[in-house]
Amino acid sequence: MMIEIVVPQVGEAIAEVRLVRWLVSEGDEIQHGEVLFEVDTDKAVVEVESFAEGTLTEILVPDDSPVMPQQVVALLTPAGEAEIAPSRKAPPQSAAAQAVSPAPSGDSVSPVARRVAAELGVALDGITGTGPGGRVMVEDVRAHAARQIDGGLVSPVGDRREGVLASPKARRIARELGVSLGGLVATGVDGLIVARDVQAAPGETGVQPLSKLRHSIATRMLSSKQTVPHFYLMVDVDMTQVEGLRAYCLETLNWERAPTYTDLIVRACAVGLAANPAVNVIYSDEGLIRRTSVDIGVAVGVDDGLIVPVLPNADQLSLAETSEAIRGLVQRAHDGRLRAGDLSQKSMVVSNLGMYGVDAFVAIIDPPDPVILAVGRVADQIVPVDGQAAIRPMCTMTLSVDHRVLDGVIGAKFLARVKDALENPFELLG
Amino acid sequence: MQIKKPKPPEPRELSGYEDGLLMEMYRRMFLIRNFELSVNDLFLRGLMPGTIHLSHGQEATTVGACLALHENDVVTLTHRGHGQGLAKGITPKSMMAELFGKVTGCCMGKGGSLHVGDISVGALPAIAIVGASSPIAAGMAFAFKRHQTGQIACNFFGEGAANKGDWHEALNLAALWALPVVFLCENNLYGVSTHMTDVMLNEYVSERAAAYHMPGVTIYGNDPIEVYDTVLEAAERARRGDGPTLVESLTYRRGGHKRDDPGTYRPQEEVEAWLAQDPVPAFRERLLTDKRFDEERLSGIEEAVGAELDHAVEFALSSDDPPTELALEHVYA
Amino acid sequence: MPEQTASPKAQTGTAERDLTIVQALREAVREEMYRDEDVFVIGEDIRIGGSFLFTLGLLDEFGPDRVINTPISEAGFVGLATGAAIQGMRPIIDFQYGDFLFTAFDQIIQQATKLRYMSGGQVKIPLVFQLPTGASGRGAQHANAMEGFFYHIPGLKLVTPASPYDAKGLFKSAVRDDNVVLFCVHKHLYGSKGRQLQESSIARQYVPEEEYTIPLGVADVKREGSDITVVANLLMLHRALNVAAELAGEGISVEVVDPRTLAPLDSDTIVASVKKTGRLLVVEENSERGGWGAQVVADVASQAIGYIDAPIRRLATPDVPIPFAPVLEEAVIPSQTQIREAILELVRP
Repeated sequence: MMIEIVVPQVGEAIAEVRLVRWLVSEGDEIQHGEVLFEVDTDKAVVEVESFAEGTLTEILVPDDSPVMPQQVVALLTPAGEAEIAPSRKAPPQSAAAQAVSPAPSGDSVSPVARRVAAELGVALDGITGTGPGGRVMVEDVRAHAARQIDGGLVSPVGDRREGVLASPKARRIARELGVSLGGLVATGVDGLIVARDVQAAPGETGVQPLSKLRHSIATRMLSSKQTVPHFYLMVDVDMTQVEGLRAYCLETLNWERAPTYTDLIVRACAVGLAANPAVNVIYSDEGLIRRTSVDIGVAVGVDDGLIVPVLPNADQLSLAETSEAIRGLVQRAHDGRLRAGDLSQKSMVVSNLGMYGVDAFVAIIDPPDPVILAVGRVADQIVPVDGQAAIRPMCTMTLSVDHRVLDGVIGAKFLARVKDALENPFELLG
Repeated sequence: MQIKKPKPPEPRELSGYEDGLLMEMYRRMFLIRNFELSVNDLFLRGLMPGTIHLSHGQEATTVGACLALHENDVVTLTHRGHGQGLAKGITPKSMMAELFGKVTGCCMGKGGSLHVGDISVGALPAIAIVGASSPIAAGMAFAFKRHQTGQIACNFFGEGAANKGDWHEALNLAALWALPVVFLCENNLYGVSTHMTDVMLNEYVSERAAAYHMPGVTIYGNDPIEVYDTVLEAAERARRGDGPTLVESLTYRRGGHKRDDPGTYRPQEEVEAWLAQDPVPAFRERLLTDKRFDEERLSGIEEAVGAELDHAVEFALSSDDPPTELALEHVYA
Repeated sequence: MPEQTASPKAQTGTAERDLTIVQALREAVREEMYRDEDVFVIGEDIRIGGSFLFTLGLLDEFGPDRVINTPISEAGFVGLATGAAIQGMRPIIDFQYGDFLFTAFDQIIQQATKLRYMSGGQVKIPLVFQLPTGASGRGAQHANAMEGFFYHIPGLKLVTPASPYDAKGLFKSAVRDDNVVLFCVHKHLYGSKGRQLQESSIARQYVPEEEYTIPLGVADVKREGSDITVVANLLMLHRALNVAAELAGEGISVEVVDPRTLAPLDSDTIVASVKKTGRLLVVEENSERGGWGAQVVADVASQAIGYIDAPIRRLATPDVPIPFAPVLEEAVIPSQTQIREAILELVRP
């Protein structure tokens, strides 16, 4: 039975797009994942690959034609095996404008890269591709073009044609920080993107900022798992007093907002670290390095991954100060406006997934920190109190520990101190 | 337009004049004549850059005037300044090199024909803007008077300048403050192509002196002795502190306004009349009537001048061009 | 004798040493005339002090040999001064209104600024022109911003002091300079009796009694700041300072640079300032087309482009002769309001 090759839903709207060109011809044997044609959505040129194997029997729509999503543009006669093999390729790089196929095919240059190269007047041969299978991606083209220009302040002409208006200073800083100008909000005169707009952007390159973060997380977590000998300590913490403190802050101290669980747990960890300086060390091959300050990272989930901004000198902050600082960090993390100082070295990370309904979990240490605390949800449990069954709000916390740095006893002592601080939390007001 | 023909007066006896003076007078006139003709020749051969305003025919005025001055008196030159400059003492070779724009020129090649000069011999580098040099001459005289150096300034200009505002202002100031300056008009009847009678009602420029209460006199400018005597008297007057004098010296250029100007605007009658009164051969003849001078002596002078001019041309042609950096120098002191 | 570069920022010292520009200049010219006998002053109506009273009392003090009253013959006496300078004197040519210099344009441009060059360095021509400049309610012919016309000419120096301290030190340097120096003071800044004086923190200022000079060609940061560089001179400097003071109270930090000398221009100081602030506004009274501020912008664009974080703007008089009606004159000369708005537009807090 013939398979209909359709124009997939590209972009957000259902609107006419353009089939730019076919990369295969009638009669070709098509492999699964092979790029069949390109579609221009005005935002970007997207490659459409085949989800089927077989022979491309008929092309129904020629090059450079307007098409609608879901429109049938070709017919394919499947190969003998009826089953369509599941994808073995690596997960897609991103959901952004870039096309999806990472498998090398007849075309080893992404369509966006080709277009930008043409705009910049850069020859494609001689550019090393950093995409899968050596595919030349648009970042490669830009980097190559930037190297051609004499390291100076002259922007490639292509920048202008991108439709981005930016001040020379903004361009220079963007280049230095590896930030893409597209997508930044302009606050300058005449709609210019100015330096402060660039400096506020997270440090990412290219058209796909997600991939770098993703890549970074992947690399670090893999390395941690492979090199850090983790062991785990768990405690169930009775959060009754914490609830009481929260109400107290709101009703008696008249705080605008009650301190969050995370605020309190971070405070407790700060207290715990201050009391157990042996935990405030980092591992290096030369030896254990004692840290001189107590800085605590707070794991924040953002659109495309996880960011850990740091609360510096956490042991010197009051609960109110902690609460405000963490709120600022989280806000900035969500707005993509973290400052360089927010992402610094830390003593440990607190990762709280309780708000997502997770009862308990085990976190991967973020090296070179020696520990990470994974916090589950606060939930009513039946616990024995004075020999009677009682219902208390309980929270399971798991401390992952780097066994190269700390042993069970020290870890336990630290965790006990944290638990104690949370169960007698009024000391945390600071 | 009214034709003005030369009216040479009775030439004075030469016996009252020193031998050295007369010899130098002839030598300089002969030098200027042949310098200008060489330049013309070089121009025709395509060797000389720029534009050239030749002064041959006016030698008696410039030489007679300059010899009446002290060496340390200062003259201002015009766009037709080769003769004025040579008369005052600029060497032919430094002037020739300047015309070629060479670094060995009197202005290091920075001025060219229109700005030749050598302050060390009292020739201020030429000002080519008609009338503009008059106030400057008055200013130098102002300084001489103030410093009581005994120097005077002599301002060469053409009859056309007498219609310029700057000129009038200068004469007024000079007379008002009794400045030691001689305003010397080389009236060759034409401002480029325009006859003086078409642009002023005065028959003589010297008439205008009366408007400023300074003495004015018109003389036949092709007799160097006549010029010499008149300028000497004016210079002495100035040195005494009695103020400026306007001396108008009637003469004629033998060439056009500039090198490539055939001068066809001048009526033939006038041209012929003046060319017949060629000051250089006329003076030569006159010298021969004096027993101190004979053919041999004059030929000797002429040969020496010829050799000097040949050497000047060679020197100029073989000199270096100014280095590029020189273009950025001498902007500020 | 000390050579200073930076001006004092605040008024200090005894009240009797708080001088206006014209008072400072009178001291300067006397000091120089006592110092060098070849210095003399020449111009129209000098005996009554000229139009802004710069030469007040000078004739009595130095006599008619050194303080020379002239007929109305600007070309004549500028040429005369040129000749005198060639022969070793140091004339100060005083103009009642700088506007009258145009009648001597040829003498300055064609002779005074070129004779040294054309002669291969045979002569030097030290001349100082004292020029009241700018619009002052007298109609177009008495309102020219002299600095714009002469900015372009090689072979001269162009000084535009805006404060008494600067004026005195720069004037002395100008007299001692061996070149043609046009010394332009805004008509509203002399501070002579009976004449309007622009109000600002430095219109009247402490001037030391001790002798000092300020070198030509050195700019002065009159007010430090970090958000924007404003380059302004003469009357515009005072307006810019007033605006800067006002904006400081609103959290905007304006750096005000006074070039003091336009030719030669101290572009290093200006460029360094713009590298710091990232924004530039030039405020100049001369008409916009080809005004001196365009050179400042060109220098900055050439030497600091990577530091520019906002469009570079100039405020100047539009390309019109100056109208007489006070409301019209006020409308065309850059005002404090316009300066303020231009700064706010570029800084975008």
